[in-house]
Amino acid sequence: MDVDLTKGLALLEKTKNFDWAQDIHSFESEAEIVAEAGTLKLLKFNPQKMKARKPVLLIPSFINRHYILDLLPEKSLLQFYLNSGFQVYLLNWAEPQEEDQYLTFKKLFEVHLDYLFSKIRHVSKVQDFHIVGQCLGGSIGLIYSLLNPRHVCSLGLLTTPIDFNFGGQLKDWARHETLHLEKFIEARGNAPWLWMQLGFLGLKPTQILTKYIQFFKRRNETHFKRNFLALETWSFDNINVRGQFFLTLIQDFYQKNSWMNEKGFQLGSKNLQLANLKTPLFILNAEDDHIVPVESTLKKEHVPQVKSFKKFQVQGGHIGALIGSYSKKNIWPEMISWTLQIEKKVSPNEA
Amino acid sequence: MESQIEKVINQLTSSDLFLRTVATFINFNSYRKIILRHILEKILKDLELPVRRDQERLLALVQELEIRIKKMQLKDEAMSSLDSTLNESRLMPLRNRQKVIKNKKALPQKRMN
Repeated sequence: MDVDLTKGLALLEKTKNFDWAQDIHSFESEAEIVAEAGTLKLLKFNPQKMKARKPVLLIPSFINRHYILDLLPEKSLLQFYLNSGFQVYLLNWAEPQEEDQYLTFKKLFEVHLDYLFSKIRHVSKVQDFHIVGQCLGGSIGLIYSLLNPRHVCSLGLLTTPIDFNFGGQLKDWARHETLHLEKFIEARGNAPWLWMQLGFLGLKPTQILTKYIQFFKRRNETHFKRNFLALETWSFDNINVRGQFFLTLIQDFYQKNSWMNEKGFQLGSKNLQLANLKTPLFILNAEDDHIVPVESTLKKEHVPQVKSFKKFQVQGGHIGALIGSYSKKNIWPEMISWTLQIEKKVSPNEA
Repeated sequence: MESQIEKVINQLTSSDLFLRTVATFINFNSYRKIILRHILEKILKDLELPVRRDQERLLALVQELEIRIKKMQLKDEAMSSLDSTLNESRLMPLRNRQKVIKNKKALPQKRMN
Protein backbone atom coordinates (compact mmCIF):
# COMPACT_ATOMS: atom_id res chain seq x y z
CA MET A 1 0.00 0.00 0.00
CA ASP A 2 1.19 3.48 -0.85
CA VAL A 3 2.69 5.36 2.05
CA ASP A 4 1.78 8.77 0.70
CA LEU A 5 -1.84 7.76 0.26
CA THR A 6 -2.34 7.12 3.95
CA LYS A 7 -4.44 10.24 4.40
CA GLY A 8 -6.73 9.41 1.51
CA LEU A 9 -6.96 5.76 2.45
CA ALA A 10 -7.68 6.64 6.06
CA LEU A 11 -10.55 8.77 4.80
CA LEU A 12 -11.76 5.91 2.66
CA GLU A 13 -11.51 3.59 5.63
CA LYS A 14 -13.70 5.93 7.65
CA THR A 15 -16.29 6.10 4.92
CA LYS A 16 -16.41 2.32 4.76
CA ASN A 17 -18.04 2.31 8.19
CA PHE A 18 -21.24 3.34 6.45
CA ASP A 19 -22.88 0.26 5.02
CA TRP A 20 -23.98 2.10 1.87
CA ALA A 21 -20.41 2.92 1.02
CA GLN A 22 -19.04 -0.62 1.13
CA ASP A 23 -17.90 -0.73 -2.48
CA ILE A 24 -15.74 2.36 -2.59
CA HIS A 25 -12.93 1.24 -4.72
CA SER A 26 -9.41 0.93 -3.47
CA PHE A 27 -7.53 -0.08 -6.56
CA GLU A 28 -3.99 0.43 -5.31
CA SER A 29 -3.70 -3.19 -4.23
CA GLU A 30 -4.18 -4.34 -7.84
CA ALA A 31 -1.34 -2.17 -9.08
CA GLU A 32 2.31 -2.94 -9.44
CA ILE A 33 4.70 -0.07 -8.78
CA VAL A 34 7.09 -0.42 -11.68
CA ALA A 35 9.22 2.63 -11.00
CA GLU A 36 9.69 5.45 -8.56
CA ALA A 37 11.34 8.80 -9.16
CA GLY A 38 11.52 10.79 -5.96
CA THR A 39 7.97 10.94 -4.72
CA LEU A 40 6.50 10.15 -8.15
CA LYS A 41 5.31 6.62 -8.70
CA LEU A 42 4.45 4.75 -11.85
CA LEU A 43 1.71 2.16 -11.38
CA LYS A 44 1.06 -0.64 -13.82
CA PHE A 45 -2.21 -2.50 -14.35
CA ASN A 46 -2.51 -5.53 -16.57
CA PRO A 47 -5.71 -6.37 -18.45
CA GLN A 48 -7.22 -9.85 -18.30
CA LYS A 49 -6.92 -10.13 -22.03
CA MET A 50 -4.52 -7.95 -23.98
CA LYS A 51 -6.09 -6.56 -27.15
CA ALA A 52 -4.17 -3.35 -27.77
CA ARG A 53 -0.54 -3.49 -28.81
CA LYS A 54 0.56 -0.34 -27.06
CA PRO A 55 -0.03 0.60 -23.43
CA VAL A 56 -1.84 3.71 -22.32
CA LEU A 57 -0.43 6.10 -19.77
CA LEU A 58 -2.95 8.02 -17.67
CA ILE A 59 -1.65 11.29 -16.25
CA PRO A 60 -3.90 12.90 -13.66
CA SER A 61 -3.69 16.54 -12.74
CA PHE A 62 -0.71 17.36 -10.54
CA ILE A 63 -2.86 19.40 -8.17
CA ASN A 64 -5.20 16.51 -7.22
CA ARG A 65 -5.12 12.90 -6.17
CA HIS A 66 -4.77 10.38 -8.96
CA TYR A 67 -7.64 8.06 -7.96
CA ILE A 68 -10.21 10.25 -9.72
CA LEU A 69 -9.40 8.12 -12.76
CA ASP A 70 -10.52 5.03 -10.84
CA LEU A 71 -13.00 6.41 -8.37
CA LEU A 72 -15.54 3.57 -8.22
CA PRO A 73 -15.70 0.31 -10.16
CA GLU A 74 -18.47 1.69 -12.37
CA LYS A 75 -16.89 5.14 -12.63
CA SER A 76 -13.41 4.18 -13.61
CA LEU A 77 -11.72 5.30 -16.80
CA LEU A 78 -8.78 3.13 -15.82
CA GLN A 79 -10.95 0.01 -15.54
CA PHE A 80 -12.56 0.84 -18.86
CA TYR A 81 -9.17 0.90 -20.59
CA LEU A 82 -8.27 -2.37 -18.86
CA ASN A 83 -11.52 -4.01 -19.92
CA SER A 84 -10.86 -2.84 -23.46
CA GLY A 85 -7.60 -4.78 -23.46
CA PHE A 86 -5.07 -2.02 -22.80
CA GLN A 87 -2.17 -2.35 -20.45
CA VAL A 88 -2.50 0.77 -18.30
CA TYR A 89 0.12 2.86 -16.54
CA LEU A 90 -0.90 5.51 -14.08
CA LEU A 91 1.31 8.31 -12.85
CA ASN A 92 0.84 8.96 -9.15
CA TRP A 93 2.08 12.45 -8.31
CA ALA A 94 1.73 11.69 -4.59
CA GLU A 95 1.94 14.15 -1.74
CA PRO A 96 5.00 16.34 -2.32
CA GLN A 97 7.65 16.37 0.39
CA GLU A 98 9.71 19.35 1.48
CA GLU A 99 12.47 18.58 -1.03
CA ASP A 100 9.94 18.58 -3.89
CA GLN A 101 9.57 22.35 -3.71
CA TYR A 102 12.74 22.65 -5.81
CA LEU A 103 11.51 20.38 -8.58
CA THR A 104 11.11 22.51 -11.69
CA PHE A 105 9.32 21.51 -14.89
CA LYS A 106 12.72 21.33 -16.61
CA LYS A 107 14.05 18.78 -14.14
CA LEU A 108 10.75 16.95 -14.11
CA PHE A 109 10.97 16.27 -17.84
CA GLU A 110 14.74 15.85 -18.10
CA VAL A 111 15.14 13.54 -15.14
CA HIS A 112 11.99 12.20 -13.50
CA LEU A 113 9.61 11.64 -16.39
CA ASP A 114 12.43 10.71 -18.73
CA TYR A 115 13.24 7.79 -16.44
CA LEU A 116 9.63 6.81 -15.66
CA PHE A 117 8.50 6.88 -19.29
CA SER A 118 11.62 5.00 -20.43
CA LYS A 119 10.60 2.37 -17.94
CA ILE A 120 7.22 2.03 -19.68
CA ARG A 121 8.95 1.41 -23.00
CA HIS A 122 11.35 -1.02 -21.37
CA VAL A 123 8.74 -3.00 -19.40
CA SER A 124 6.16 -3.14 -22.18
CA LYS A 125 8.81 -3.54 -24.89
CA VAL A 126 7.35 -0.82 -27.08
CA GLN A 127 8.76 2.22 -28.79
CA ASP A 128 5.74 4.43 -28.14
CA PHE A 129 2.56 4.51 -26.08
CA HIS A 130 -0.70 6.41 -25.76
CA ILE A 131 -0.96 9.28 -23.31
CA VAL A 132 -4.22 10.45 -21.79
CA GLY A 133 -3.93 13.48 -19.54
CA GLN A 134 -6.62 14.78 -17.26
CA CYS A 135 -6.77 18.56 -16.71
CA LEU A 136 -3.20 19.76 -16.03
CA GLY A 137 -2.00 16.21 -16.59
CA GLY A 138 -2.86 16.95 -20.22
CA SER A 139 -0.35 19.81 -20.20
CA ILE A 140 2.28 17.34 -19.00
CA GLY A 141 1.33 14.95 -21.83
CA LEU A 142 1.43 17.80 -24.34
CA ILE A 143 4.90 18.91 -23.27
CA TYR A 144 6.18 15.33 -23.38
CA SER A 145 4.69 14.84 -26.86
CA LEU A 146 6.47 17.95 -28.10
CA LEU A 147 9.75 16.87 -26.53
CA ASN A 148 9.57 13.21 -27.62
CA PRO A 149 7.14 12.89 -30.55
CA ARG A 150 8.47 9.46 -31.54
CA HIS A 151 7.58 8.00 -28.15
CA VAL A 152 3.95 9.14 -28.17
CA CYS A 153 1.50 7.22 -30.33
CA SER A 154 -1.50 9.39 -29.50
CA LEU A 155 -2.44 12.07 -27.03
CA GLY A 156 -5.73 12.59 -25.23
CA LEU A 157 -6.49 15.82 -23.42
CA LEU A 158 -9.38 15.55 -20.98
CA THR A 159 -10.62 19.00 -19.95
CA THR A 160 -7.15 20.45 -20.33
CA PRO A 161 -6.75 24.24 -20.40
CA ILE A 162 -4.61 25.63 -23.22
CA ASP A 163 -5.70 29.18 -23.99
CA PHE A 164 -5.59 30.84 -20.58
CA ASN A 165 -6.99 34.11 -21.92
CA PHE A 166 -10.31 32.33 -21.51
CA GLY A 167 -9.39 30.93 -18.12
CA GLY A 168 -12.43 32.40 -16.36
CA GLN A 169 -12.23 33.84 -12.89
CA LEU A 170 -9.15 31.82 -11.98
CA LYS A 171 -7.32 33.80 -14.68
CA ASP A 172 -8.47 37.12 -13.15
CA TRP A 173 -7.13 36.07 -9.78
CA ALA A 174 -3.91 34.64 -11.16
CA ARG A 175 -3.18 37.77 -13.18
CA HIS A 176 -3.63 40.18 -10.31
CA GLU A 177 -0.31 41.92 -9.92
CA THR A 178 -0.28 42.75 -6.21
CA LEU A 179 0.36 39.18 -5.06
CA HIS A 180 4.09 38.42 -4.80
CA LEU A 181 3.96 34.82 -5.98
CA GLU A 182 7.65 34.05 -5.71
CA LYS A 183 7.72 35.25 -2.11
CA PHE A 184 4.56 33.25 -1.44
CA ILE A 185 6.32 30.08 -2.57
CA GLU A 186 9.64 30.98 -0.96
CA ALA A 187 7.85 31.33 2.37
CA ARG A 188 5.79 28.17 2.10
CA GLY A 189 7.86 25.80 -0.05
CA ASN A 190 4.98 23.97 -1.66
CA ALA A 191 1.69 25.72 -2.37
CA PRO A 192 -0.75 24.74 0.40
CA TRP A 193 -3.72 22.75 -0.83
CA LEU A 194 -6.10 24.85 1.25
CA TRP A 195 -5.38 27.92 -0.89
CA MET A 196 -6.11 25.98 -4.05
CA GLN A 197 -9.26 24.48 -2.57
CA LEU A 198 -10.49 27.89 -1.44
CA GLY A 199 -9.87 29.17 -4.95
CA PHE A 200 -11.96 26.39 -6.52
CA LEU A 201 -14.73 26.79 -3.96
CA GLY A 202 -14.69 30.53 -4.56
CA LEU A 203 -15.51 30.01 -8.25
CA LYS A 204 -18.97 28.75 -7.35
CA PRO A 205 -19.44 29.74 -3.74
CA THR A 206 -23.06 28.62 -3.44
CA GLN A 207 -22.43 25.25 -5.04
CA ILE A 208 -21.27 23.58 -1.84
CA LEU A 209 -24.50 24.57 -0.12
CA THR A 210 -26.80 23.45 -2.95
CA LYS A 211 -24.82 20.25 -3.27
CA TYR A 212 -25.44 19.30 0.34
CA ILE A 213 -29.12 20.31 0.16
CA GLN A 214 -29.42 17.98 -2.82
CA PHE A 215 -27.64 15.26 -0.87
CA PHE A 216 -30.04 15.68 2.05
CA LYS A 217 -33.04 15.43 -0.28
CA ARG A 218 -31.77 12.26 -1.94
CA ARG A 219 -30.24 10.67 1.14
CA ASN A 220 -32.30 7.49 0.73
CA GLU A 221 -30.97 6.72 -2.74
CA THR A 222 -28.10 4.31 -2.18
CA HIS A 223 -26.53 4.74 -5.61
CA PHE A 224 -26.60 8.54 -5.39
CA LYS A 225 -25.18 8.52 -1.87
CA ARG A 226 -22.35 6.24 -2.85
CA ASN A 227 -21.36 8.38 -5.83
CA PHE A 228 -21.68 11.56 -3.83
CA LEU A 229 -19.55 10.25 -1.01
CA ALA A 230 -16.83 8.98 -3.32
CA LEU A 231 -16.62 12.27 -5.21
CA GLU A 232 -16.66 14.36 -2.05
CA THR A 233 -13.96 12.16 -0.53
CA TRP A 234 -11.80 12.80 -3.57
CA SER A 235 -12.48 16.51 -3.86
CA PHE A 236 -11.52 17.18 -0.23
CA ASP A 237 -8.57 14.79 -0.26
CA ASN A 238 -6.12 17.34 -1.64
CA ILE A 239 -2.38 17.50 -2.00
CA ASN A 240 -0.07 20.47 -1.83
CA VAL A 241 1.29 21.63 -5.16
CA ARG A 242 5.04 21.49 -5.71
CA GLY A 243 6.30 25.06 -5.33
CA GLN A 244 7.95 25.41 -8.74
CA PHE A 245 5.00 23.69 -10.46
CA PHE A 246 2.70 26.26 -8.90
CA LEU A 247 4.89 29.09 -10.20
CA THR A 248 4.91 27.57 -13.71
CA LEU A 249 1.15 27.14 -13.60
CA ILE A 250 0.49 30.72 -12.61
CA GLN A 251 3.35 32.57 -14.32
CA ASP A 252 3.78 30.62 -17.57
CA PHE A 253 0.27 29.35 -18.14
CA TYR A 254 -2.11 31.86 -16.58
CA GLN A 255 -0.05 35.06 -16.81
CA LYS A 256 2.02 34.61 -19.99
CA ASN A 257 -0.48 32.29 -21.71
CA SER A 258 2.58 30.50 -23.12
CA TRP A 259 0.84 28.10 -25.53
CA MET A 260 -0.72 31.01 -27.39
CA ASN A 261 2.48 33.08 -27.48
CA GLU A 262 4.80 33.29 -30.48
CA LYS A 263 7.65 32.04 -28.30
CA GLY A 264 5.60 29.16 -26.94
CA PHE A 265 6.20 27.41 -23.66
CA GLN A 266 9.76 27.81 -22.47
CA LEU A 267 11.29 24.68 -20.96
CA GLY A 268 14.89 25.50 -20.12
CA SER A 269 16.44 26.52 -23.42
CA LYS A 270 13.70 24.91 -25.52
CA ASN A 271 10.72 26.74 -26.95
CA LEU A 272 7.81 24.35 -27.26
CA GLN A 273 5.10 25.43 -29.66
CA LEU A 274 1.75 23.97 -30.58
CA ALA A 275 2.70 24.49 -34.23
CA ASN A 276 5.20 21.64 -33.88
CA LEU A 277 2.71 19.14 -32.52
CA LYS A 278 2.05 16.29 -34.93
CA THR A 279 0.85 13.59 -32.56
CA PRO A 280 -2.69 12.28 -33.22
CA LEU A 281 -4.91 14.02 -30.74
CA PHE A 282 -8.29 13.76 -29.11
CA ILE A 283 -9.82 16.21 -26.70
CA LEU A 284 -12.73 16.03 -24.30
CA ASN A 285 -14.48 19.24 -23.28
CA ALA A 286 -17.09 19.82 -20.62
CA GLU A 287 -19.75 22.34 -21.61
CA ASP A 288 -20.48 23.56 -18.09
CA ASP A 289 -16.91 23.51 -16.86
CA HIS A 290 -16.26 26.53 -14.64
CA ILE A 291 -12.66 25.55 -13.89
CA VAL A 292 -11.57 24.97 -17.51
CA PRO A 293 -14.11 26.78 -19.71
CA VAL A 294 -14.68 25.24 -23.15
CA GLU A 295 -13.19 28.34 -24.83
CA SER A 296 -9.88 27.73 -23.06
CA THR A 297 -9.40 24.20 -24.40
CA LEU A 298 -7.49 23.18 -27.52
CA LYS A 299 -9.13 23.74 -30.90
CA LYS A 300 -8.37 22.41 -34.33
CA GLU A 301 -7.28 25.87 -35.51
CA HIS A 302 -4.55 25.88 -32.86
CA VAL A 303 -3.04 22.74 -34.39
CA PRO A 304 -4.04 22.66 -38.09
CA GLN A 305 -1.01 20.45 -38.87
CA VAL A 306 -2.35 17.57 -36.73
CA LYS A 307 -3.89 15.11 -39.18
CA SER A 308 -5.88 13.02 -36.72
CA PHE A 309 -7.87 15.33 -34.51
CA LYS A 310 -10.98 14.20 -32.69
CA LYS A 311 -13.11 16.34 -30.42
CA PHE A 312 -15.70 15.19 -27.89
CA GLN A 313 -17.93 17.65 -26.12
CA VAL A 314 -20.08 16.57 -23.20
CA GLN A 315 -22.60 18.34 -21.02
CA GLY A 316 -21.46 18.52 -17.45
CA GLY A 317 -18.87 20.01 -15.18
CA HIS A 318 -15.14 19.52 -14.91
CA ILE A 319 -15.39 16.07 -13.33
CA GLY A 320 -18.94 15.08 -14.28
CA ALA A 321 -18.08 15.19 -17.97
CA LEU A 322 -15.10 12.98 -17.36
CA ILE A 323 -16.61 10.20 -15.25
CA GLY A 324 -20.35 10.70 -15.68
CA SER A 325 -22.59 7.92 -16.92
CA TYR A 326 -23.14 9.65 -20.29
CA SER A 327 -19.40 9.69 -20.94
CA LYS A 328 -19.06 6.07 -19.91
CA LYS A 329 -21.78 4.95 -22.32
CA ASN A 330 -21.04 7.21 -25.25
CA ILE A 331 -17.64 8.85 -25.08
CA TRP A 332 -15.29 6.28 -23.54
CA PRO A 333 -16.07 3.61 -26.17
CA GLU A 334 -15.41 6.19 -28.90
CA MET A 335 -12.15 7.19 -27.25
CA ILE A 336 -11.09 3.55 -27.22
CA SER A 337 -12.04 2.85 -30.82
CA TRP A 338 -10.30 6.05 -31.98
CA THR A 339 -7.15 5.01 -30.07
CA LEU A 340 -7.21 1.55 -31.64
CA GLN A 341 -7.66 3.05 -35.09
CA ILE A 342 -4.65 5.30 -34.53
CA GLU A 343 -2.63 2.28 -33.43
CA LYS A 344 -3.45 0.53 -36.70
CA LYS A 345 -2.64 3.62 -38.76
CA VAL A 346 0.65 4.33 -37.03
CA SER A 347 2.02 0.80 -37.10
CA PRO A 348 -0.03 -1.33 -39.53
CA ASN A 349 2.78 -3.87 -39.95
CA GLU A 350 2.75 -4.87 -36.31
CA ALA A 351 -0.83 -6.15 -36.55
CA MET B 1 -31.76 33.69 -5.81
CA GLU B 2 -28.81 31.30 -5.89
CA SER B 3 -27.39 32.80 -9.06
CA GLN B 4 -27.84 36.31 -7.69
CA ILE B 5 -25.90 35.46 -4.54
CA GLU B 6 -23.22 33.88 -6.69
CA LYS B 7 -23.06 36.95 -8.90
CA VAL B 8 -22.64 39.27 -5.91
CA ILE B 9 -19.90 37.07 -4.37
CA ASN B 10 -18.13 36.81 -7.72
CA GLN B 11 -18.23 40.57 -8.18
CA LEU B 12 -16.86 41.02 -4.71
CA THR B 13 -14.05 38.49 -5.12
CA SER B 14 -13.09 39.95 -8.51
CA SER B 15 -13.00 43.53 -7.30
CA ASP B 16 -9.65 45.25 -7.19
CA LEU B 17 -10.11 46.33 -3.59
CA PHE B 18 -10.81 42.77 -2.42
CA LEU B 19 -7.88 41.29 -4.35
CA ARG B 20 -5.51 43.98 -3.13
CA THR B 21 -6.56 43.43 0.48
CA VAL B 22 -6.13 39.66 0.23
CA ALA B 23 -2.80 40.03 -1.59
CA THR B 24 -1.50 42.47 1.04
CA PHE B 25 -2.44 40.04 3.79
CA ILE B 26 -0.75 37.11 2.00
CA ASN B 27 2.32 39.19 1.12
CA PHE B 28 2.68 40.36 4.72
CA ASN B 29 2.55 36.77 5.92
CA SER B 30 5.05 35.62 3.30
CA TYR B 31 7.58 38.35 4.13
CA ARG B 32 7.15 37.73 7.85
CA LYS B 33 7.91 34.03 7.38
CA ILE B 34 10.88 34.70 5.10
CA ILE B 35 12.45 37.27 7.43
CA LEU B 36 12.01 35.06 10.48
CA ARG B 37 13.53 32.12 8.64
CA HIS B 38 16.52 34.17 7.48
CA ILE B 39 17.22 35.33 11.02
CA LEU B 40 16.95 31.77 12.34
CA GLU B 41 19.17 30.42 9.58
CA LYS B 42 21.79 33.09 10.25
CA ILE B 43 21.89 32.13 13.92
CA LEU B 44 22.14 28.40 13.12
CA LYS B 45 24.87 28.96 10.54
CA ASP B 46 26.85 31.09 12.97
CA LEU B 47 26.68 28.19 15.38
CA GLU B 48 27.84 25.92 12.53
CA LEU B 49 24.63 23.93 12.74
CA PRO B 50 22.87 22.48 9.71
CA VAL B 51 20.03 24.44 8.20
CA ARG B 52 16.83 22.66 7.18
CA ARG B 53 16.63 24.28 3.75
CA ASP B 54 20.17 23.19 2.89
CA GLN B 55 19.25 19.64 3.92
CA GLU B 56 16.15 19.77 1.71
CA ARG B 57 18.17 21.04 -1.25
CA LEU B 58 20.74 18.32 -0.70
CA LEU B 59 18.03 15.69 -0.49
CA ALA B 60 16.54 16.95 -3.77
CA LEU B 61 19.98 16.66 -5.41
CA VAL B 62 20.51 13.16 -4.02
CA GLN B 63 17.11 12.12 -5.36
CA GLU B 64 18.00 13.53 -8.77
CA LEU B 65 21.27 11.63 -8.75
CA GLU B 66 19.47 8.45 -7.72
CA ILE B 67 17.05 8.77 -10.64
CA ARG B 68 19.89 9.44 -13.07
CA ILE B 69 21.62 6.27 -11.84
CA LYS B 70 18.40 4.28 -12.26
CA LYS B 71 18.09 5.64 -15.80
CA MET B 72 21.66 4.54 -16.55
CA GLN B 73 20.92 1.09 -15.14
CA LEU B 74 17.86 0.90 -17.36
CA LYS B 75 19.95 1.83 -20.39
CA ASP B 76 22.53 -0.73 -19.38
CA GLU B 77 19.85 -3.43 -19.10
CA ALA B 78 18.51 -2.49 -22.50
CA MET B 79 22.00 -2.60 -24.00
CA SER B 80 22.86 -5.96 -22.46
CA SER B 81 19.60 -7.52 -23.67
CA LEU B 82 20.34 -6.10 -27.12
CA ASP B 83 23.85 -7.58 -26.91
CA SER B 84 22.56 -11.02 -26.02
CA THR B 85 20.07 -10.94 -28.89
CA LEU B 86 22.84 -9.91 -31.25
CA ASN B 87 25.13 -12.66 -29.99
CA GLU B 88 22.37 -15.23 -30.36
CA SER B 89 21.74 -14.14 -33.91
CA ARG B 90 25.48 -14.39 -34.65
CA LEU B 91 25.68 -17.85 -33.12
CA MET B 92 22.58 -19.14 -34.85
CA PRO B 93 24.15 -19.90 -38.22
CA LEU B 94 27.07 -21.65 -36.48
CA ARG B 95 24.76 -23.85 -34.43
CA ASN B 96 22.70 -24.58 -37.46
CA ARG B 97 25.85 -25.41 -39.35
CA GLN B 98 26.99 -27.79 -36.58
CA LYS B 99 23.59 -29.47 -36.60
CA VAL B 100 23.80 -29.86 -40.34
CA ILE B 101 27.30 -31.34 -40.05
CA LYS B 102 26.16 -33.77 -37.36
CA ASN B 103 23.20 -34.81 -39.46
CA LYS B 104 25.42 -35.33 -42.46
CA LYS B 105 27.72 -37.58 -40.43
CA ALA B 106 24.77 -39.48 -39.02
CA LEU B 107 23.10 -40.07 -42.32
CA PRO B 108 25.40 -42.73 -43.86
CA GLN B 109 25.53 -44.58 -40.53
CA LYS B 110 21.78 -44.78 -40.40
CA ARG B 111 21.71 -46.04 -43.96
CA MET B 112 24.35 -48.61 -43.18
CA ASN B 113 22.35 -49.84 -40.17
